[in-house]
Amino acid sequence: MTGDNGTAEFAWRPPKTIQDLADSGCSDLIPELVAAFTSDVADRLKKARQAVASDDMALFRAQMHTMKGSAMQMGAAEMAALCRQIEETGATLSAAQYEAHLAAVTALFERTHRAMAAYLHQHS
Amino acid sequence: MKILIADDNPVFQKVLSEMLTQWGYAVVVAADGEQAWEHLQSADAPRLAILDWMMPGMDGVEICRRVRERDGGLYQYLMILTSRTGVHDLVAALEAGADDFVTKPFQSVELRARLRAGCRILGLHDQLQQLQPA
Repeated sequence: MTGDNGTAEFAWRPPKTIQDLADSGCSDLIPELVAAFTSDVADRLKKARQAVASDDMALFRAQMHTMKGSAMQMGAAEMAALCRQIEETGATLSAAQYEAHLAAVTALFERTHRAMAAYLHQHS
Repeated sequence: MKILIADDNPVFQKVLSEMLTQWGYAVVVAADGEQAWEHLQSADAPRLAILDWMMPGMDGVEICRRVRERDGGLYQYLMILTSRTGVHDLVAALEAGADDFVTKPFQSVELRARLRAGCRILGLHDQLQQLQPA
């Protein structure tokens, strides 16, 4: 199955830590965490765009660092890997390169969000 | 036992809050370093804190440093929770005064075991305090 731009969609399921927690009596936990993750990443991407516009690359990498952590905890492995790669690239990239990285993370986040939404729909 | 969770990320705030509550701990949450520092200085301060390293305001390692620089008061067990994985990061956190260092993403069984270890340390510290001459 491919997305609108031809890229392959992927499936998402909660990692064991979160699934175990939900199974222990927090039935609304997974939808709440998806909502929190989605909202936080959207905010971080906005800050990352502002960082690129103001040439604050330390702030840009800080957003990648934080998104990496929550993506890992949420089982969004592809997004975590991309954020890690960008974070570790270093401080010598041009603004255009940072913008390209930001576009890539944004696109991957949108695919991740669709995958999470599909999971919630299947398990509602 | 009251535990402070200090993390600006709502995913970790939620996951940790639910976990710790299920395990029987009382939880307070701080969304940035300044809030965390206020909680740790309060009259009814948590004895154990899980601190994210990178937070707005004061970071988790700086909080550890400030807690250890204080004179008096009950010992507070400080655990850094971070996606930083380098040995230098670990050393920096421990040298600043952290008692433990847990990497993200964390496994619940590991975190639970480390919290129990922290509670044991606090219990031993309290016993030692009681043995001190008045």
